[in-house]
Amino acid sequence: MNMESPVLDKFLEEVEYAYQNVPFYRKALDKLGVITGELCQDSYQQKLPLTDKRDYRKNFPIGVLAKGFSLNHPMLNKSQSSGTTGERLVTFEIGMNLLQRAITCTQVNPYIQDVFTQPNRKICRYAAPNCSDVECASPHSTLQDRLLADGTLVLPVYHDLLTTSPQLVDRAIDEIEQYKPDLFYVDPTHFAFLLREYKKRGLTPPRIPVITSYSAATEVSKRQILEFYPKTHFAEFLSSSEMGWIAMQCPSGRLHLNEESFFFELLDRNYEPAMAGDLAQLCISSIDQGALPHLRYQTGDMVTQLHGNCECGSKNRSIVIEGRESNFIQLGDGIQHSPLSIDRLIGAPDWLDLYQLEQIEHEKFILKMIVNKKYQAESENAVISNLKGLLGKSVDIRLEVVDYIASERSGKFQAVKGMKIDK
Amino acid sequence: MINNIFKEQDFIKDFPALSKMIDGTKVTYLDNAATTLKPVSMVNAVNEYYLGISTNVHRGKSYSLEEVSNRYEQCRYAVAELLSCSGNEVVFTRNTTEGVNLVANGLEFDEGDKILVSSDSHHSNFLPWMRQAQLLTVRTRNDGSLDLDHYYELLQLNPKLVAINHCSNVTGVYQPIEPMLRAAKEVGAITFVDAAQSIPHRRVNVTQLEVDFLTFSAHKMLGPTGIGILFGRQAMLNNLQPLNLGGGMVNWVEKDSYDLRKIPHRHEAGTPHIAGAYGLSAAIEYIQNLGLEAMESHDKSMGQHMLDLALERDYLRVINSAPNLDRGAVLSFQIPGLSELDDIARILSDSYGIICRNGHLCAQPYVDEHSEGQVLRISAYVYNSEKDVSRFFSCLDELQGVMF
Ligand SMILES: Cc1ncc(COP(=O)(O)O)c(C=O)c1O
Ligand SMILES: [Zn+2]
Repeated sequence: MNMESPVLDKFLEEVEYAYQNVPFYRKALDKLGVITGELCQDSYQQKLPLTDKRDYRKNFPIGVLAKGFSLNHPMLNKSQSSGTTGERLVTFEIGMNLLQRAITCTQVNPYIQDVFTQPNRKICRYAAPNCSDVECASPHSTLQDRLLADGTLVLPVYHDLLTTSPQLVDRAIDEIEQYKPDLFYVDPTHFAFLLREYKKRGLTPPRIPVITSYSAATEVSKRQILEFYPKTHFAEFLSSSEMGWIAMQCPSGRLHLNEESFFFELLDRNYEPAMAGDLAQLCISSIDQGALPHLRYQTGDMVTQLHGNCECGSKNRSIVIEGRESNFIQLGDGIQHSPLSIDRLIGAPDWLDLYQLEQIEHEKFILKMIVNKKYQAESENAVISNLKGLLGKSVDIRLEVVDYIASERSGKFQAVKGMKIDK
Repeated sequence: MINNIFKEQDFIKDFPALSKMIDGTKVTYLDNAATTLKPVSMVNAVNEYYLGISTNVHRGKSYSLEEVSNRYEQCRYAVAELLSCSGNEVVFTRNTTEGVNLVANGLEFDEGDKILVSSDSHHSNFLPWMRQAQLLTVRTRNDGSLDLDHYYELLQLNPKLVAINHCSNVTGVYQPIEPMLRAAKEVGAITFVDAAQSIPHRRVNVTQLEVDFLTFSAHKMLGPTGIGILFGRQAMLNNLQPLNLGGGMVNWVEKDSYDLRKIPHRHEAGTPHIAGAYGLSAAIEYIQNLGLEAMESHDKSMGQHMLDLALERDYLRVINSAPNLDRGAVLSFQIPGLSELDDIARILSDSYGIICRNGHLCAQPYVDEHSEGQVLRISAYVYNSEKDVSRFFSCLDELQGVMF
């Protein structure tokens, strides 16, 4: 594994810090008989437990907050995931730590970093609202209501993205006009939707850098973003409400891990370190001794590490995001395909604006497509034959050209949905 | 195997009611136009809500409340998918009847406004309109079929709203709603479709139809009673005055004013039928698994079989036996000389285990016009086979000898 020892040292210090200051870790490590002072590169993986969302939700706040912090601590920022039930989570962290994580993350992309670190820069966010469907996006909230302390304006949008009313789209467009942001911080599916709405109205959005997160940018979303923005203006990044900024795309197009701010482990199905090119779960530990330290946190994001060094010069490992495990396509013979591999097959045909491939049974799929004027009957044949090439000639793919595809209840849009496996 | 189209489906296992006995005779259920039987998976889904942490929806922050709200909203998405509309165009109601009333009472009608209705409508798609405005009623012909020429004539009187009955609960005949709706839109009318008898059997794609509102009930399509759907186009739902005011449908309330929540929630005041939504999701899933195309062919072939057998018998007279109509698995007839059929219906059930319907079928103006008194109605659903229908007629033949 490509591990630089300063990061490992910081990680082991973080373990010590967590053990001394965070009740959840003290209990867990005591129970396992871990002696923190004795941990080293060769032993931590056997000794230290992995953690997941449930641990941080269940023990919040008393169990997971470090000594000396309370929820009303003036230095703390609250972040809340857009997920519901099993996905939902509230996290608090020191604002400065989060900012520092964001800054180190943008190092691989100097152009984005310049904009992001400018004093008084303004950001517009367009993504799933992180509150329940009914209360949020009340059309009566004002711009002021949605302005965050860090200069981010949260633009209004409905939970079920495609039901966002024309009035609310007008309002988002007006607010962008009024607020004059320096940076778009968006969900790519949401942003592609907004760009289609700009187009419909014969308007153009401001020419500012666009960074996308929250969900993977599908090829069709990228195509629509790149219709309005030059490549240099667009970067994908990976962030989460619990960690902040985790990885960012460099100008050469690789997504680099933010190894200055986190200790990363890429683990295979047996929780062993994965090799480059192999499917791995991304596990993250914080290393900045903050208010809510995370140790060996399983993100549920499946990734593969890319081989070799990047031409941009960054030494940080680079990855591609395959998707969440629960969204993988499950074939009858135990073979799985990641949402990313499906998206690559679908590609970015110019007639397609949005799609969703849902697996109903091992051999049964529904492909919903929202198409544009360039669509002609049978345009989709190439896509279907690509899919059948991967999934098998005999699979049944029901095609539907539609105007509407529901978002997930979390407000995110899931382009590839694997079969639900009964537990 | 229970019928030819759904060879694979084990309906006996899925529908415990199919194994029920009446005095030792297995039931033949032929009253599906009134309400269908209910599959186990649907009942389990309902139970899942009631036996789980049965919180309310959309009112608070607890974990289970979110889970319940998710399931409730997922049902909305499933309905949207069934109709090919968008999630916020789906309003949960109690039933078809409430769907009609929400629209009849939520739109503004002025003095002199006209509403076009069909004379073969169910009372639900008739009385609510009668109270709001002057009715223009499409005639039926002597054979019981709807006089479509008259429909197009009446459109020229510029009705404000046109309320179409997609499939008659008396005759099982489907109207060609596509051109009817298009013509109604051409004269600027608001269009409304009662789809209580059609959605359970056939795919209705509202994006391909010029329909502003459409309504149906879950209980006629394997779902629970007490929940129904009103589809309304976004602009229409936004213009509709909510019928009920109260909790769950406002964003903000002050002492002397309030601000309505976005659609569809503004039309769903009060605690909804949450378990019903769980059940409806399961019912839709059951239907999707059978396949709507297969259901449509079943509907048609059963309808034809009923008509064929009925026409072979000269002791009965079918209501609307006009040939070449698009008909589904519903058939009503009178028995000339018998204006009262309570006894027949009672004997069919008690001695033969056959459950069917007699009376005026909530379409009294129509039935009165085309029958000398009550009619007997049989109506089939997915689990019925041609055998059930044949059995019905042979039982009737037996009774003929002694009763009429
Ligand atoms: C055509 C038609 N419309 C409306 C209804 C009323 O349905 P509900 O009783 O579920 O409101 C029925 C049910 O009998 C019907 O057949
Ligand atoms: Zn690079």
